Amino acid sequence: MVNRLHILGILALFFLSSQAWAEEKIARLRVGLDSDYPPFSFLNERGSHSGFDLDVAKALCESMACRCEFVYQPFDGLLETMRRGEIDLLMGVSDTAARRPYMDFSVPYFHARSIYIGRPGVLNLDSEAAMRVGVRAGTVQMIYVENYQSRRTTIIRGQFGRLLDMLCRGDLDMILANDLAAYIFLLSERGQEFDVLGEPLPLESFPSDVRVGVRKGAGKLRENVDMAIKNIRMDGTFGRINQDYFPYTLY
Amino acid sequence: MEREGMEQGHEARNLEPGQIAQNDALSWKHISIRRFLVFFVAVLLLFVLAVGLMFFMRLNSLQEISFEMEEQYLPGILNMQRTRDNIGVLRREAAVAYLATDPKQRRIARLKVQALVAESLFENSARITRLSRITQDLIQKLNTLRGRSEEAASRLHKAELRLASAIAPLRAASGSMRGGFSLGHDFRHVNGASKDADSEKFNGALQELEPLLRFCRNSDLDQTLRAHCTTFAEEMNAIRDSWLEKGEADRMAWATWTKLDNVLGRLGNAVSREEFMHARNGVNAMSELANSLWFNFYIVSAMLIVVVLFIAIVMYRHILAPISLAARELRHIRSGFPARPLPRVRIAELQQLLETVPGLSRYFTELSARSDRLEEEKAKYETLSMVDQLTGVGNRRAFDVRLEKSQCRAPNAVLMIDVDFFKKYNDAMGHQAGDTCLAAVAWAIRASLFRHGDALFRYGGEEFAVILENVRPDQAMVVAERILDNVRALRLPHPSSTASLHVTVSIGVAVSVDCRDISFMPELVAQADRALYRAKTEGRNRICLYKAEKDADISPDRSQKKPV
Repeated sequence: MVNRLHILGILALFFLSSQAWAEEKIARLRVGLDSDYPPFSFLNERGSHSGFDLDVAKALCESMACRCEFVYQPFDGLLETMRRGEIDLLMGVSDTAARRPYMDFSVPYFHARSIYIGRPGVLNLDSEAAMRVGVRAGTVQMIYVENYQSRRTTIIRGQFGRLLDMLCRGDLDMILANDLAAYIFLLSERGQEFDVLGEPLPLESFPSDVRVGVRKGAGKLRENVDMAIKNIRMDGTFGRINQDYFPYTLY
Repeated sequence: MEREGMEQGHEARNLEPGQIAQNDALSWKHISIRRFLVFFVAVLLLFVLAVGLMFFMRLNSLQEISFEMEEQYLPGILNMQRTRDNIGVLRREAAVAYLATDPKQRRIARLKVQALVAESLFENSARITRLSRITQDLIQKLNTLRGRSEEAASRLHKAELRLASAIAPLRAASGSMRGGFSLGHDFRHVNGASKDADSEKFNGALQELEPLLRFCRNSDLDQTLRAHCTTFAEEMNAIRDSWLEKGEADRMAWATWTKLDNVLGRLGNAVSREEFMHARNGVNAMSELANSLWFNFYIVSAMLIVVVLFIAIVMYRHILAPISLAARELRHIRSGFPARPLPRVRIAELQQLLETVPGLSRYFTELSARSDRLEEEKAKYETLSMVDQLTGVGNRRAFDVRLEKSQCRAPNAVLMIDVDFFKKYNDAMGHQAGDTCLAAVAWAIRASLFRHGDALFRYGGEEFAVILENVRPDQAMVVAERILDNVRALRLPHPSSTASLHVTVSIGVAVSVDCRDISFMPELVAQADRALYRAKTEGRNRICLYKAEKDADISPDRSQKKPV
């Protein structure tokens, strides 16, 4: 009798502990963020990570009651990592057919358009001159530029922060980027010499909705992320983060 | 008997459907209880289903509206808020673009407006997109005008400096100290001043320089003064032009900004109105639904009550009432009253039950009649078994029963009678004649008994026994003598008898003295037997009365009687 009780107790303990362990394992999410993409994710003056996407990711984790660890990599690297299934969430991606085989997508959490920035008048230059266009590696903008490049265009792929440095140094003529990031640069001290070149690209050029990429097949997680996005929008968390980074309310 | 009853019931059941079909086929349709229940349950289910469906649909709409609330109204309100906020930003930035003197700030304002206008494509509202587009144009125009104004202002400034350098020597030469230059302009752009007012102001200022102009109109000026005069005139024109242009640009900028602010203000108002309408619609829909749910709740409750009542009524009318009717009627019949006509009921089984009730009454009466008859038959058979076939008098069993039954109310007498030399008679005359003789003797003995309670039994082969109730010994003797006489009077020839020529009997009489003795009757029989034995031994054809004290006292007084 006593023996049996002991065995039962040990079994129960084992069961409970394994359950708790499994839960903890599920609850710990790996979230991928671009390592150099102001103002979405960047190193601030004090050398610590900050940015809009990071704050949103933290809010989502809090809403889902999950513990998150953040993985900082260049965007194309993040896509690769996601393809290998080594991260659970990836902030700030658009839903494209090419990405769908290896990741799922949440509902969009904001929308953005794409613009060219550069020194004013650069487009009016002698058309014989070769254009050096910077794009974030791996993004929909890169694919767009690759598809529409002319012979005279040189595409420079890199991280957004580095592209901005190149633009300031004159190593680039223009950058095609998400307008939010571009405007924040233009409004900054360094961006004073630069301006928007032409009109924003038309909406139908490529997806303008920005989503959270979710590890393929993690349906439950995707639902949770959707719910969390809805929650942080409703409870004002998203609006507060928005205010911290952008001069107007995001769409 | 039970079988017969069942058969009768069966017969009745077989009969009924035909009758019913004939009588009531049109007015009254019977259904079996199973069908009734199925029908009943089906109706109930349909009803409950309908009610449930109604309620479910309401609940569904509740779910829908809460879903709508979550999916449409709340995000809608958020979107409206965002739009309103962004319009506020546009308005603020427009003001900055108009008011800021710092071109950097104006650039920032322009960039923000530009960004917002680009993003406004996501509004999904043609009106907002169009207005954003207008806003962008107006901001662009405002910027241009502000640039023009600033250029004019800087031209004005330069012209003023040059004018000042020209005025000083002219003043010195003319010696006029009056008419200091006081256009009174500043770098702040004019707000709301009209073009005419500007010109007037300029002309007023020009008036003050009139002495200098007059001085320049003198023809006797030297080369230097003439050059100064030319500069003076030129710069005055330049000042006038730039000043007017600056005023023009400022006025246009002001007008543009006012228009812009108006547009944005109107848009903001429209959006907040829409936002309120949106919220109110949601709340209205909710409260409407809540009201209708209440109403529905009442209706459903009422319907459920109706259902319960319906069940109760149907159950009572079609099941309980017939059963209690049958029970009442059965009680009625059992009390012996005749069956009454019963009303018809809907359910076939219950109708059959009710229809067996009158049948039962019939059956009851028949049963009692039959049992009476049976009782009679039984009595008859009982009598038969107690009667001697040959003589028709009670047999030995009857005699025993009578002995048991006889009560000790009064003195009883037992007469034992034996046909004298019956064996010889039988041998001589044959058994047939023997039988006839016995029957005749029995008849003769019975004819001697006058009272109702006196009974004759055939005791054995040729022996008879008579029981007389409530007699004294002398009375018993009288009866015995009558028997003796009656048998003699038969005159049946008996050639082998030694006592007489005809058939005679010997009689032993015993009369009870004390009937309290339990065994008195068998005892009495034994006494009578003994007396009979005496009579036989004394020569037959005589009577002997048993006397307890003395055997000799048995009276032989009639024994002397000789055959006639």
